[in-house]
Amino acid sequence: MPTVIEARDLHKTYVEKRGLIHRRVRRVEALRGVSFKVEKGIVFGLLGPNGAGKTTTVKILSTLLIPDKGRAWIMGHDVLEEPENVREIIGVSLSVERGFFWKLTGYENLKYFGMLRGLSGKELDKRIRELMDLLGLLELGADTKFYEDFSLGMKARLSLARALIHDPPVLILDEPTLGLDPASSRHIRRLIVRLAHEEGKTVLITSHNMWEVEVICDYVAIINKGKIIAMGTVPELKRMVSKEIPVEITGYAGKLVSEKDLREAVQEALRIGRVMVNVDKQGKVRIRVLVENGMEDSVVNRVLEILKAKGLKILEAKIMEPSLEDVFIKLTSGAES
Amino acid sequence: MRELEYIKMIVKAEFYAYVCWLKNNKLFAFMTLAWPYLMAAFILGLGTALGSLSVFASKVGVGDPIFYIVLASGVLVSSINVVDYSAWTLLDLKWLGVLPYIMASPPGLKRVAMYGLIIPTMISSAISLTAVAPVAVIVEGPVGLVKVLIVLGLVYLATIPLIGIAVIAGSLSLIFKEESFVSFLSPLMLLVSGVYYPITFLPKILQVLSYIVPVTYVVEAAKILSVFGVPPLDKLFWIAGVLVAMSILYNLVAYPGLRSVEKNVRKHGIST
Repeated sequence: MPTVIEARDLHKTYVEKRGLIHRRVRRVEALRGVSFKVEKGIVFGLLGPNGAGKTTTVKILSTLLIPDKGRAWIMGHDVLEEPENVREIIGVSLSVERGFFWKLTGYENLKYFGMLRGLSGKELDKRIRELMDLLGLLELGADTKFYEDFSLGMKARLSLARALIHDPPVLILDEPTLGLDPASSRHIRRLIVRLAHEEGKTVLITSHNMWEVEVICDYVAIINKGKIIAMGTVPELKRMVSKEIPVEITGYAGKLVSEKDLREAVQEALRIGRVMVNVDKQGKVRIRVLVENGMEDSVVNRVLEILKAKGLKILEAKIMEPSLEDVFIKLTSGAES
Repeated sequence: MRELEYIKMIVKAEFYAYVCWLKNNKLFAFMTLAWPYLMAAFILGLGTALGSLSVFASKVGVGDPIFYIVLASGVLVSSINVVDYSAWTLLDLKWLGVLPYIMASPPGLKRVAMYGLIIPTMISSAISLTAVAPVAVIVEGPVGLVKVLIVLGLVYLATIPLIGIAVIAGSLSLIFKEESFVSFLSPLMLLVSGVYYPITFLPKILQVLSYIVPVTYVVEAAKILSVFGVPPLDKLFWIAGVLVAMSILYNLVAYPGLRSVEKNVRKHGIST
């Protein structure tokens, strides 16, 4: 399969300067040598926590950001040297929340962006209707509704429709299902897979939703702190944790508890670093630990003791099949996620 | 050839979007029509409170003060619209999150920011001056309408250098993340254009500034046209010449400026 997207040794440090008279300077190292290749007709997932460098990579590939070092190509076109050629062949969705004119309808917005790509007349009208139908926007009345009245799900669908308006061979989608309801997420996931596998488009998506990446991506790169730390198909990545078993315990705190405190308590008790802790707004706690084969019972008991000591009500404890999340836990050794 | 195609694409897209926007904001469209009259009424009220219209006419140097005030208000309103629209567009696009998609479109930011402004500002100027046309016809008959069309032509000539100035200010706001560059433009223009008082009333430094602001020349044309009958065409041609020269000069700075803005934005990143 030919390579469609290639990134080679991308580096980027943001230097933020504010104020004209009193200059304030802040440096953030976003990418530290990112390299990967994406073959034609696949869904490639760039998986990583917030601030890992996913959006920076996407912006460079979309010609929106110039890297400090390194190069990238889309279908052989250099994103730095030939940005106009690259823009012709990519469809981009960068944020599902905004990026359109609020006082224009969904149809009018798509028509504007279609015209900016040289489309016009009946051909453009037909394309807009097709896309709105494909994305379920017509049945939601998005063609006549102002963008300001759109739900988040409709905004996400419209963003994907814009990316597809000129039928590009390459799609670059930054967190395409972020914050969406299950129905909208499922709709978009199905469409992404269909576009790659049935229409031969090459799709690069970023996500921090590990389950989603596992479900739709043919090939995955895990990025953390500006570096790719693992790359492969989902089964290949899962084999990295085949000697370990994921254990998941859920509990209810009933009050606000610190993820960091809980993680440190479990890490200290078990003497392992591979622990992921999530506490949601309702006080539901989820702890996932990678343990060696045969050690799962003792680990579960130990974690239960810790949680009880912290006053948490235990809801469930189960031994799981390894997932991408476990690969991520292992590779980042319990880093913030 | 590709450049010409990009310009065509942008002009068509912006025309479509602006017409849709006006259609969807009917109250704004109505206010654009009403605004020159509100301004004229305000100035007339203020003028008659402080003295007679004939005093105003002799001080400002115009023939028919009512015709002049209405016409000049149309000029001023359309010029403010041009400057505001042009200067704030870059920031508006950034706030709406549209800017990255403009940048990721084949024409790119520099072309859309430059050529994309022409159509909406021309439509807006036409609306403002159409609004004053009925008064011009009532006061001077068909000649009044011709005079409005001449002023519209001059406003269009002034639009191009105004876009240049506004784009420079908008670009600086984008680079330095400071809105102050665009917010002072309209009040400054109001101050130095000499619409409601002679330029000689201004301090020396503002007088100098008034000569580099294109609106001053369109206001001057409105003064010339406010004399009853056929106006001196040679003076109008001279004004048109100045505006053409300004168009070339300001846009010689603005276009390369926009190129460096695009480069700067691509270097430092734009929020999505």
